[in-house]
Parts: sequence; structure tokens; C-alpha cells
Amino acid sequence: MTEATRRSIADLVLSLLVAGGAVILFIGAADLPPPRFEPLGSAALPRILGALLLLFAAILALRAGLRLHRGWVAPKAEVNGADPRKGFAVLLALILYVLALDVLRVPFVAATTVFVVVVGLSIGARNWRNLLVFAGLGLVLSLAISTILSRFLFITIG
Amino acid sequence: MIGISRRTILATVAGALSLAMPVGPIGAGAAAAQDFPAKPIEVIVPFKPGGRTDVVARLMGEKIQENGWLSQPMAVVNADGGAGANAVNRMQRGDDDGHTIVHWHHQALIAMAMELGDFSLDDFKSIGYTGGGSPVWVVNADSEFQTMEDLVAHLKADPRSLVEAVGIGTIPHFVGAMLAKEAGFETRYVTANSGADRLRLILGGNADIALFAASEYLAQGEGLRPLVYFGRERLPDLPDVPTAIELGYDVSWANPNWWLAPASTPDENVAILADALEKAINDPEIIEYFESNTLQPYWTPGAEAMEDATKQLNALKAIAETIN
Amino acid sequence: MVDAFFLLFEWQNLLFLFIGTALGIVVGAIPGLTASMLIALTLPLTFHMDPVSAVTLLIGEYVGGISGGLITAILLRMPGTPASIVTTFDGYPMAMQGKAERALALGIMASVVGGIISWGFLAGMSPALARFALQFGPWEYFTLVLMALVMLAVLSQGSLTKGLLAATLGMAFALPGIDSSIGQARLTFGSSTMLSGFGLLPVLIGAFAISQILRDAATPQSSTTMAIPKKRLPIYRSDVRYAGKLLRGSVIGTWIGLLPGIGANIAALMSYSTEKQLSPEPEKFGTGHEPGVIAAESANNASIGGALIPLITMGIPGSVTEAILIGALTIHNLQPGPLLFQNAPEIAYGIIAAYLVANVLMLMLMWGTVRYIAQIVRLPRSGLMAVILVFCVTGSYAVNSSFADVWVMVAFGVIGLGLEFCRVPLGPFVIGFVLSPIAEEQLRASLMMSDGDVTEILSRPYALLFLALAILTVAWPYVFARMRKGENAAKGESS
Repeated sequence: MTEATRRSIADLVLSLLVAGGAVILFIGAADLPPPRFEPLGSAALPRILGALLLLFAAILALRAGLRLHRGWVAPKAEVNGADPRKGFAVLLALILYVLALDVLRVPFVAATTVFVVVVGLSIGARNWRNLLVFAGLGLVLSLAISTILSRFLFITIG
Repeated sequence: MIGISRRTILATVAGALSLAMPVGPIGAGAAAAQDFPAKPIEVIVPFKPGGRTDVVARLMGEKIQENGWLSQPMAVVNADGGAGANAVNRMQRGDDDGHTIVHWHHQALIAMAMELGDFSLDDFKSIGYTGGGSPVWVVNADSEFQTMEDLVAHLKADPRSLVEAVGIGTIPHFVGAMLAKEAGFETRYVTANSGADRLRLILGGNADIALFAASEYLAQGEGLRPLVYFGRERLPDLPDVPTAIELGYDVSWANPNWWLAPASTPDENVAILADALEKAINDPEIIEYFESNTLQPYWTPGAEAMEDATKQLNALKAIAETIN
Repeated sequence: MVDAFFLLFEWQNLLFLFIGTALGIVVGAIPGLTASMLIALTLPLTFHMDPVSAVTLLIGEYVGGISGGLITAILLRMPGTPASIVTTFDGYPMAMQGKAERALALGIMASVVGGIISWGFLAGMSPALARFALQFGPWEYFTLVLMALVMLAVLSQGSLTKGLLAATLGMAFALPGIDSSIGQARLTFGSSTMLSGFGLLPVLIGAFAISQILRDAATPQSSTTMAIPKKRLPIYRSDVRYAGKLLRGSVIGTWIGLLPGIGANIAALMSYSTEKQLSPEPEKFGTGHEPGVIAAESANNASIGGALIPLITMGIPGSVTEAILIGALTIHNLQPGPLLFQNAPEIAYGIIAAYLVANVLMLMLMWGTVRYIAQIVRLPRSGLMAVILVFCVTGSYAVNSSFADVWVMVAFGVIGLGLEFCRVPLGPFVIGFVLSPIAEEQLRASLMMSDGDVTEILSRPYALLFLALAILTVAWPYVFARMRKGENAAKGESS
């Protein structure tokens, strides 16, 4: 797949998502009470923004479609051996971390130490030395944060 | 309608979950009361730090800790947002044995009257009121209106000719609307969701009338003229400002410092908390703080407070209907 | 006033000011942690302090927090605070061109100059200026914000459609929650957690910090995305030529800061776009142009001094941070307002004096330690990212003690990443998100006040002025282009 096709397809997907968002705005606006204190009311801005989003989505889709049709060549490809899997690994780790704190009520210090190790190792080099360094870092960081928050600010995480 | 059914489903699911869990809030709630409190009590304040509700909670907590009226300290947690929904969610996440309580005021009733969050009085057990304060209605000091009578006469002669700074669906709006309904006049509104906004609009001449807590009015000092006070009796700091009742309008509004626990909290633990709070509100230093901030220190026990709140809620619901 | 300065030089007050400024700079430099968060988090610590010490600590944090943001904005293109979003436009390209030290030097100097000039306004003109802004009603606020939104549209780079799409999307994400004009739920679809809407802090942290970290995690370790200052910060005698620009940025910053509800980020944006409009070479902005950094940093620091004016004289907060500052004063039984100068002059003048000293301390601290603070950048990237992610999570959580905010942060991280991938700019997205609630509330308040009569704006001269400026901002590039075309045609060049 060329850079041009990739970007055009990304634009098409974006325009679909934006159009979907606009539909949600319209659905939400339909339930809102009619204007009561001034002529605009709650529903005016959602409808205006929904209409604008539909317009922009249409322009984007049209342009992307034309580009695909004409076989447009992207000006420059700037992909430099990026590894999206690492990004996804960090995102997954972040989601699991918040999930652990929020839903599973895992203690903050334990969850944070594990999280720092996982993120550190998924981005950096995987070796035993790093494992120890990140575990130490995570432990010190989480102890420091939870001490400050709970002792001085009375905020308990979890 | 959709909202209600979804709410019911959620409640059912939540109920089922809590039943299914072996060690949950219910187990904790059944624990013996004699070793209460067993850990610091989390006091949730549904506002940002620094407001009156927050300051009073912290002062009372400090005083209770200082005198050892509870064996554990009180830790204030601020959970602002969503008209209190955030605070209620946090309360429901916590223990229901008195270790997690809420310090709120009658904005809670307004949220209920407006059906904002999916919570009602049934979700709470009232620990009690520890004092409260009433607001004043003010105009700009340069205003042509010297008294409430002038203002009402003007509004009756020329309806909707004056602008009232209110946040629609907040205390100033409800109090103003109760008075307007009782006295039979009508104003125009301009949105002002904070005391600072109302002050700005009044002083800048962009609004004619606004409601302030008596303490806010006294702190401002210049540029404002109070017309009517919404307490049951005149405030010693404002001896010349008549109450609405004196003027013949049956409207009063007191905004109490209301302590609430989850509905399933054991009564013994509520009583322990109530006892400590009652001692705190009778402490000379607390009384001095309240009086120097135009708040009235008093203690209203839980059941009585709940009864008063229920009555207020019904009055508010009548006003809320005019908004929808 | 002189007494207040002496009071300030009592050792513990100076110490607290120093601690506050230093803390502010470090926290400001860390993306995801902002001055308002730091102040909110240290507020409870001040309960047992004497009021003057408390105020000096908080003012130091405020000044340091807004200033520290420039470090990571320039070196990492991660604005440490929202106030330095605009600094990334030219600061980061400069750093990429190997001029990181120069960008930092200019940023720090501009910050200090902005701070000191706005201090002049604060100390000298506060009552008069505050009285002027006080007469602004909803019409003026609406047109003012509209003007800011229009400037933002002119400023957006790349595809115009995508810039506008970004702004519209940002505005749409600001819709859910309680509609502040009628106090009722809007687009919450029956969920009570949606009642608080998407919080500003989680959205900012998500869109800027999280999406950046996720993107960086995917790119192989290379020093191309980060610049590390090695040499001393260069400043030249010829920099005197920037005096006019510094003054302009500082005055704009002070002026914007004075208006309640509009923060340092908008001040920087306004100053930047003004500088760009006035520049003979506007195309250079965004490519590492020195005046771009100066415009942004002089204005965002100056806005603090401006915002302190209505705070001290009227008790009206100019920003979220100031709302927290007012909270801090009320905890000490001090109500900011016209009476503050009479009842508690040591506090009123103490704030003014502390602001000046904080700026001087900030210069010393930043100049001396920026290379070390920037070492945050040099820490092993993997560890640094993990630490920042933990700070982002705890920071989002701590504001309202709510996990919903943390989820919002994660979601906006993903949204931000997706938008960047589709080349939709994040700046207009975030600014649309911040401004649209103010614009909507003020417009609807105007119409409420006038009983739906739009023509009332004709009786509001300042509102008309702002509206005219907004229209001029849209029209100016076209007029300018046409004028240029005319000139070129006269010279016989083909364009």
C-alpha cells in the first residue's frame, strides 16, 4: 500500500467517524428541551456543530475519494521504521493499569511498580538489569506519590 | 422514560453485584459498632477546595481531632463536578459503615429537584445539620431602588424590566423564583454561575439584581445595596435589612451544612458521628468562626434535618417544573 | 508597599517564595502537571502557615509553573503547561535546528520581561484597569471569545478544512455535561458520570501528553525528537532590537490576562497571531522564528500579572489557577476585594511584591538550572515515559478523586493520536474545547438578557469593537494578499 493510499484511506475512515459523531450529536439534541429562556436553547449548538461536522466529513471524503481515483502521489513519506506495536503495548499497559486501580482495586504501590516495569521493558531494552532498575524506580515513585497524596493531601488512590 | 428504565437496570445490576460479592460493603456494614471508627473517616465535599462547605468540613474535622471526640481523624476529599454526581459516586464506592460520609448543602436538593444525578434522598442517611447561613438579595449601590417595595412596585408596573443575575438551576435562581412567585413579579435572567460572576455583572451595571450569601455581601462591602434577607430573622450584622417574611412574603431559605452518610449505614455509627459533630458545633472557637462569617451555629439532629430537607425538596420541585 | 517588600524579606517568606518558584518550574516543566494542579495540591499544606507565607508560596508556584512549561515545550514539543502550547510552534523547530539554547534563552528572557512589564501594570494601574474591564457584560465576553476563535482559525496551519474540523470537534467534545445556561444535563445519554463532562485537565493531559508518549513509544529511540542544551544560554547585545516585540507581547498578555476566564494560553495565542500579522515575513512563523518564541513567552507570563489585577482589586479570578488562589485566601479568612487594601494591606501588597520577586527568582533559577532541569529529557526514555504516565494518571485522578477523569484522559490520548495520524492539528482542537463553552454561555446570556433581541449589540461599543476586530482578522490576510498582488503586478512580476 502506498503512502498516498494509506493517507486517503485514513481520511475516509476519519470522515466516517466524524459523520458518526455528528449523528450522535443530532440524536442527543433531539431529546433536549425546547428553548425556554432565550431563542437558542440547549439544542442549537449541538445541531450547528453536527451540521458543520457533516460538512467537513463530506469535504474530506470527497477529496480522499478523488485522490484515490486520480492516483495522487503523496508529497513525502516520513515513515522511519516506526514500530506501532510498541505504542499499542504501552496503551494496553496503561489501560490495564487504570483498570487494575479502578475496578480491581489493586493497591497503588503494587500496580504502579508493575506498570513502570512493563512500560519500561516494552519500550527499552529487555534485560535483567533494566528489570531491576525499573522495579526500583516504580517502587520509589509510587511510595513517594502515595505518601505525599495520602499524608499531606488526604487523597487515597483507589 | 429511557433514562428511568436504564437507571432501574443499573440499580438492579449493582444490587446483584453487591449480593454476589462475598466481602463487600454489606459485610463491612454489619461490623460491630463499638470499634467505630476503625480508620480515618473520609469526608467527601462535592466542591473544589476553598469554598464554604470545604472550609467548614476541615474546621470541624480539625476540632474533632484536636479534642479526640472521635478516635480517628477526618480526612476531607474534594470531589467536584456533575452537580454532585461525582461525590455521590465516590460515596457509593466507599464503605457504608460511616467511614465514608458527605458534607454538602442544599444544592443537593436542587440537583434532586432538577433530576440531574441518579440519586435521591433515599440514598442517604442524614447525620444532621451543623449550622448554616441565609442569603441576601442586592442591587447596585447606585440603583434607584432603595427598598424592596420600590423594586416590587417597579417590576409590577413594568414586568420583566430588570435583569437578575442567576445561574439557572442553582440556589440563586431557585430562591429568586420562590420570591418572584410569592410576590407575583417577573424578572429577566442573565447567566452567572458563580458569586464572582454575579458580583461582576452587578458592579459593572450589566445586571440589576443578584443573590449573595450574607458573608459574600459583607466581604464585598462597597457598591452593593441589600434589599431583603432570606433568613427567618434579621441578621445581627445587617440590622437594617428586612427579612422577606417581615415584608409579607412567605419565603425563607437557609442553606445548612449538611452531613450525610450512605443510606445503609448502621444507626449506631451515625449516632457516634452525630455526637462528635454536635460537640464540635458547640465549641466556642467554631461558634466564633461561624458568627464572624454570618453563619448561624446550630445543631439539627439527623431525622429532623431529613424532614426539613424533604419539605424544601417539595418546594423546589414546584419551581423546577417551571424550568422544564 | 515598601513595608510589604520588607515583610517579604523576612527569611521564611523568601524561603517559601523560593521553594514555590522552584517547585513551580519543575512541575511546570513536566507535561501533564500544571501550575493550577500544583497549587491545588499544595493548598492544604498552607492551612497551618501564616497567610503571607502561604500567599508567597502560591504566587511562586504560579509564576514558576507558567514559566517552567517552556522548557519541555521547546525541547520536546510537549507543552509542560497549556500556557506554553504556543511556544512549541517556533521553539521546537528552533531546537530541532540545533538552536535549543538560543530558544531557551529567548524564552526565559521574554518570560521575565513579560513578568516585569505586567508587574508595572499590576502595581501602577490595577484599580483603573479593573474598573474598565468590569463594565464588560455578556456581549463583550462573547465577541471577545469569538475574536479569539477567529484568530485561532487564521492561525491554524496545513489544510484549512482540517484546522476547522479540529476546532469543531473540540467544540463538540465540550458539549456533554451540564449545560451551564440552564443547569440541565445535555448529551449525557443518561449516565451520571457524564454529568461532569470531559474535564479540561484530563483532556489536555490526554491529547498532549498521552498521545505524544504513545507516538514516541512507537518511534525507534533516536535523538531527533529531543534536543539537549549543552552550551551556555546565548544572549546578544543585538537582542535589544526585540524590545518592541517584547513590549507588545507583554502588553497584549497583561490585557488578555486582565479579562476573567481567559487564560495564559489564549494570551500567548493572541500575541503570537498579532506578531505574525504584523510581521513582514509571516511565513517564517512556525519554522523556528525567534519572534515567535518571544511573542508567546512574553505574553503568557505577562498574563499572570494582568490576571492578578482583578483578583486583588475586585476578588474576581482571571483563571482556574486564580480561582484556587482565591480559595487559598478565603481559607485564611481573607476575602480579596476592594477592602483587601484597607483590611489586609500586607496581603494585597504582599501579592504584588511577591509577584515581582518571584519573577526575579524565576530568572535566576531558570537561567542557572535550565540545563539540569532539561536533564529530565536525558533520563532513559523508557523510564521517563513510564514516570510521566504515572504522573498523568495520578494528576488526572487527584483533581476530583475520580477514575472517570482518568478514563477520559486515556480516551483523549487515543483520540489525539488518531487525529495526529490523520494530520488534524491538535491546537485548534484543544482551544475550541476550551473556548466554546464560554462563547456559548455568554451568547445565550446576552440573548437571555435582551429577551432575544440581537440588535442590542449595537448599543455596546466595546462588543462592536471586538466584533470589528474579529471580522478584520478574517479579512486581513485576503486584503493583504490582494495588496501584495497589486504591488507585484505593478512591478511587472507574475505571481
